[in-house]
Amino acid sequence: MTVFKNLMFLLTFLSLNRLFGQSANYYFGSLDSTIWDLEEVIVTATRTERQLSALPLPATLIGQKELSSSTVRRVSDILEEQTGLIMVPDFNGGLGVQMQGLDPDYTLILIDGMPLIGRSAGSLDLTRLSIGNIQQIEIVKGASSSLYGSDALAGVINIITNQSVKKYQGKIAYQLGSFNSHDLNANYQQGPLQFFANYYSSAGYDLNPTDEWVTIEPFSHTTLQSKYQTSVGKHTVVNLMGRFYGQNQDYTAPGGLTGATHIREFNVHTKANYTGKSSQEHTLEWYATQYDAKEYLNNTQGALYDQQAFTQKLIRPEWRSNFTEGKKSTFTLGLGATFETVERTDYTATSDFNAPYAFVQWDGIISDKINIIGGLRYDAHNVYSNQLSPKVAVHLPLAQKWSIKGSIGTGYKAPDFRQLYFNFSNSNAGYGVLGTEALTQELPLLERQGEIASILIPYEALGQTLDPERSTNYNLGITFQQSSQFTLTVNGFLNEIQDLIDTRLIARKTNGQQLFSYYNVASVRTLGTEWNISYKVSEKMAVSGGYQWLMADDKDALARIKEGSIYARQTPISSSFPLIRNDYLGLPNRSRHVLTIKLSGTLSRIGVSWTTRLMHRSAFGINDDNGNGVIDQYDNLIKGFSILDFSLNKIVAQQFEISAGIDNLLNYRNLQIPNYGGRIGTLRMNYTFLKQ
Amino acid sequence: MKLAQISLFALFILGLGSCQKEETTLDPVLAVSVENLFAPQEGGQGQPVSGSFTKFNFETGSITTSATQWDIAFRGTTIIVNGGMSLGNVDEPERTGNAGAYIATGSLSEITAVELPLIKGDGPEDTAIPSGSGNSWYSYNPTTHLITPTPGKILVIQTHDGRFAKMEILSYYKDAPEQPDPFTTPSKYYTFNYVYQPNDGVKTF
Repeated sequence: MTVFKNLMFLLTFLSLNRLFGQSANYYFGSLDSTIWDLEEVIVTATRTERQLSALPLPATLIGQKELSSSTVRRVSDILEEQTGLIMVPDFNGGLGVQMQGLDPDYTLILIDGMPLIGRSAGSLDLTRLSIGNIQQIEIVKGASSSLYGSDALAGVINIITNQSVKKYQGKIAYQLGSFNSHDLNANYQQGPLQFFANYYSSAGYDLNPTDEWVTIEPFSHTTLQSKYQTSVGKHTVVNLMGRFYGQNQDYTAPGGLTGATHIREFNVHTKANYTGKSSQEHTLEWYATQYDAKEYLNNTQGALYDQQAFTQKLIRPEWRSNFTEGKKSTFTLGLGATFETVERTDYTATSDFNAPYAFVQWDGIISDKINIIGGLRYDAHNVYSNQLSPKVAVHLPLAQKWSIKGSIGTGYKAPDFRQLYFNFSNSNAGYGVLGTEALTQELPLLERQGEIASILIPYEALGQTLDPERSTNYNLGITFQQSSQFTLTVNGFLNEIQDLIDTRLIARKTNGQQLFSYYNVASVRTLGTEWNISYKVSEKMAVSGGYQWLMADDKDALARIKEGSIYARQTPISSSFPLIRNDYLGLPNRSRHVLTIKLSGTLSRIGVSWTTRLMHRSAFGINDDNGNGVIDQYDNLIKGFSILDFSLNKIVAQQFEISAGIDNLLNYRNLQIPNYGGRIGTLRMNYTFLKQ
Repeated sequence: MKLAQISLFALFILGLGSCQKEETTLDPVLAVSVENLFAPQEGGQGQPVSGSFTKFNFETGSITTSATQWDIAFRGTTIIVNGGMSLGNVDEPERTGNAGAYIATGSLSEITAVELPLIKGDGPEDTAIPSGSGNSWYSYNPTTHLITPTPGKILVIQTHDGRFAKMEILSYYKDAPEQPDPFTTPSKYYTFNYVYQPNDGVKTF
């Protein structure tokens, strides 16, 4: 019954019960407890509460039960267990998520509906987030710019933190793991006030002790969060949230250089929710966040060798209204604006981004059973061009157990500050990068100083305004559901992305250094299918599995292979020959096949529940080792590998729970995939303080 | 540096060449493998680059110190030809000949004829064989820090005395290892195959 209760609290929190309180409703679900017990509710897909199973969009939920029984402690780890989500390491040792075959830069990450920031290199590090106070993680796949604007090309992940918990007073948990890792987690509730604290530290690990780099340096993460909820008058609920995240990590580099990186993040979120009449709901939100990252290196004498700083600030007010008519349709109207600034070492003077927006959505039933959602969003911007993002989705129940869902939507990603204002030069490797705005200032200067030997692109192509990267996304899926015992869903997806921003060589300096800038040059296609199956074998055992088949190709590379102008060599010193289509493996870090299988059960005689999970990725390439510009089967590929996890959980007493687990049981390690440090053992204790 | 003898491959080319021509007075084309041509440079990595170029003659198939009898010259990843004008690089040899070059896409055997209009000498904007990663004969991978000759890039060369050669660079590392180590394998050692057409005025291989 915990699912039901949690959902009820969620409902209370959002004060939407009036919307559902009248009568059973086909697609919104109802307060009838038998249905709520089975149905999961998602808010991210439509910005209204929707039954997951009747939603016309591909979406997944990670619920409280899965989160609380898991031995993993970071959002990155729990997302990796989901079908079709691949964790991809970034340059700074963080982990971003690859969704529908698109890079981590193209998935929007929200916390309680508002964006997390700090993408200093494009990807957002999901190891930043503890799962210790998460109520539910909602994953909507496919372009969602019609509701969320920029960055939502691949999809949206919304991390919903604990709502008011009335069942207990507090919870404390401690987990000890390999690599000297400690995770201390505390939740406490006092009246309308909620507190959360998490401390996570690890000694890190080094996959290659023979070189002078350390794969994962020792680190510690601290998260503090507080929430307050109160009613104002009869119809309005006000929520306040404050959150702090801090991360400290050692930083060493060859030549005896030592230093550290420090990240600080603050979020403040206020929300007022008014439900005056049963058919209307109005929400006003105000969100502000700041992300600071600093790193430094000292030489052996202790003098400063290098330092970098990155500060991003974002403020977003948003107004939303929902008008429900006759229990058959909901019309949503939203207005908002994003104000954003970034300061960074190696940036020229930046301008602020001011981006007001408006969106509308109609979600309703036609012909008594076909659910249609149509949405449209307009984003204005003071620096790049304005965007219009439409989306349409349809859910059609066939027979009792079968249904079809399909959607077409557009997504876009605005050029980021780096692509506009970067002014960076790496004298060691002999190249420099200039953002498009920086280019218009810097290049004439360099020319006047006689530093430019030659300009390699037409003059009119210099300093061209960057356009947003755009995509069109198609999903078509079918679901078969036989009660709660057996479910099968299959979804096919296609993403056509154009105007992808990539660097191009623009000039050569007299000292031989090359200058690069950013251009809308590439186009990419990702095509795939995702299969999910779950089967409850008995009261004591359940099995679920997921599979993703994926092709993620650069269209220019495909065209060049077709015309026979990309070559490879069998061995480094044999003659070149033209590549054929089947030799081409597409974009880096994409596996054609990814399989996950999960078995879970209970041994009721000894009161122990167990889970075992297998993830397999087929071979993929990371580097273009043979220098032909594409990843092909003659590059040094990462062989297919499997990760096997196992965990046990026992409720010792009513308030005391103990878990033990082994992650990566097969001890998979690979220098090129820094996120797998080898086999990890964990031991966890959980104590609940009941209400007096 | 080791000069390989005429290989079976060369005999094959030779056979083609002699079949196509009625005249029997033509000299056979030469197919040669060159290993470990060392092209050191001073400086680099942000410092001013200097040091003498390693000059090469296709006819003899060996490096040379001659001031005039050279076709192309190597220093680090830079390749210049004995023709055109200087880009003003430090320690550049004087260009005395009529050499030129262009980069063709294909395998060595696929390039069977010289496209004369594409041949140009060095300068003034760039060398005939352009410098820099990704737009010439090699690419530098910033992740692995390796310099890899781009497969399918064939250097078509007019020699200092107006004859033609085509060459494929295979490795930039000593002894052309399967997987060079970017930090320990000695670099600036060229391994390449080339085919030289010794007959004046013949633009096919």
